[in-house]
Amino acid sequence: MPVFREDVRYVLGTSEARIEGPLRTASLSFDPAAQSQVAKLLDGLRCGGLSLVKLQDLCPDLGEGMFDLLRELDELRLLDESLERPCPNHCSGSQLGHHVARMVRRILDKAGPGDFSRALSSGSASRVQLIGYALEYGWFVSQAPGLIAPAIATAVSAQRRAMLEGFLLAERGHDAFVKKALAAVGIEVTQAWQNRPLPSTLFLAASLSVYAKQHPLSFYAALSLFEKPQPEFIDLFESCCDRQGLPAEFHRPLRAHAELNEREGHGDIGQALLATVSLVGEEEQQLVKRHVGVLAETLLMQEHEIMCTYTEEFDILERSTGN
Amino acid sequence: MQQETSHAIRLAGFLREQVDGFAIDLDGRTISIQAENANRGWIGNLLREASHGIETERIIESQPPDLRDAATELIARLLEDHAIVRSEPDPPMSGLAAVLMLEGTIDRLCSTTLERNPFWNACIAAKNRGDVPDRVVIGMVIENWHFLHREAYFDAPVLGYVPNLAVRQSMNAFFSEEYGHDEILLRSLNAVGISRDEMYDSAPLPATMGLCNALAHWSHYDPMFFFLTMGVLEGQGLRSDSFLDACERMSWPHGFIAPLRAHSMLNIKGEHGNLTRKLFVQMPLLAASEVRRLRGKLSSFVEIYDAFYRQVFSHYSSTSRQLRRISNW
Repeated sequence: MPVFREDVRYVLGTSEARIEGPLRTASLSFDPAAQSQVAKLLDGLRCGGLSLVKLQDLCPDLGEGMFDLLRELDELRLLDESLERPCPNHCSGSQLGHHVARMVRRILDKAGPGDFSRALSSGSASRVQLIGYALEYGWFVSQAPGLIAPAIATAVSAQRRAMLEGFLLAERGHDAFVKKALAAVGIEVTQAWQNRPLPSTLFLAASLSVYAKQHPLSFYAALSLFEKPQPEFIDLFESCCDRQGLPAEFHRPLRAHAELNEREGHGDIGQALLATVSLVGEEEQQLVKRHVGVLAETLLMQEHEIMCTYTEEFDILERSTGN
Repeated sequence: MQQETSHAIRLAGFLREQVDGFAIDLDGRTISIQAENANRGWIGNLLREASHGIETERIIESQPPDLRDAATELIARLLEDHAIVRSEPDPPMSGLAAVLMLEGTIDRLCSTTLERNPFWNACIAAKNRGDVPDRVVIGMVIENWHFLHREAYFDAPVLGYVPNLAVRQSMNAFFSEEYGHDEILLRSLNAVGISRDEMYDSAPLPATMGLCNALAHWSHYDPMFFFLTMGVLEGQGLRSDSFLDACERMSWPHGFIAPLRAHSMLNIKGEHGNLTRKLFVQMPLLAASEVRRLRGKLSSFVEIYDAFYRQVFSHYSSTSRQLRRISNW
């Protein structure tokens, strides 16, 4: 849909038109009988928003000559492309954050609580399952700096980069909390970190790392899933640990980590990053929804896998990568 | 680049004892090490052990705690003087020897996981239509489409694999053959009434998306390990496709089966199942420690690949909806 550049003017005579840009000028000679059609064409180009077919309808007598004229005007840099009608479904990054949060709520409400959360609520989570949760959580936390780092490289503004650098620094070394917890139940640090993550834990980490590099918008939106404070979960976890006779030194560092995250306001980092994105088109909105929706389901998958894998027969050495 | 996992050191010259310490004769140069009586014992032992080659960590740990700093300092000084050199920590392996060993590990891991997977068991046992539920059959193609649709996400990072030209060329040739295979599967889905727009509005299962992202992660950050997964994903060692054979025995319509068969034939013709071997054969040498590292990670890969088929079977056996529409979320 061609349109004259903003600084292009034209003068229409009876058999000639001069089209003037700041640097170059074009002239068009025509049969005086066609003057009204040429006037319509030039006006059409002044207003823009008309397709080639519609422009041709305005000046049928010019025939193929219209295309020659447009080609010449284009070569002389006198034409621009009309703005497409803006996509009605675009939104801001913040709006997208809210859409995604509502979607996640719908997915989780529909699915109901995860298997591990249910076991915490009913008090039936076993000692091995509680330790298993800490192992998976610890492995994930130990990976965090490597997952966040690519997002620093893909942050295009100084503001976003500063936010992500702060986030990376805040997350660094947090695996120490979980190491302390595991040490209280006799699991050596090296042993714990050599432990192979469950498929779902690997999926969560790999997805964040890949989105940080390939689609930062999805990474920002996904962070809200992980950094949301969950005080009820921690309370239930703690009372299950007490019931199973796990020492306070096991659950205390995990609570300390959760409280640290809450104090540092990590819960807002995803939304704060999204707020720096001014416009998101329809395709990317759908992409983000797909990515974050599937990640929410992956969190539920993780709860299921924790319950199935960490049974009484579980042997930590068997899940070690044994390098 | 192969990670140096252990700092093995070896004396670079000939060791001599002197009245006031030791000397190391290098090419036309002598390095003297002063050692008064109190230190003569441990320094002598350290140098003698280093003349046979030893790991730094071990030699330092073998000293009494109060001498470890001095030992570390001495080794650093000798390294700086090139009087000791870092030696090969491991015997190297040829790419072929490495891949043959790793294939053995993959086979062993698959025999306890993928080969007992309910999806493959159902395919092998299927005789009549419905033996593998219709939704599972179509679901498998849907998830496969999602996987192939995202192939560029995980192949692209290694198309520019810098360390080895032949490997890079093989990967690029593979990708050019592989590109667009999602369109072939889409024809099968069209034959059972699923349109392109519906697929574009759908979400893969978590295990499918997770598999794609794990591969993309490895492809970006651990390309050697990614290369190792390619053969398995492309049907390494399989003479026939049990899923396709099951569809034929269950008399699925030609319009559904033909594109699947065409896709399978392209992979067989392109010998895609041999890709991992083809890539590793082109690597002249690998450190044994690198091969051990790769072997240690293999169980993670086989486990997530197994999880993919398990989730296809469990989800599509129990759902009432064939498609997971994002617009329904």
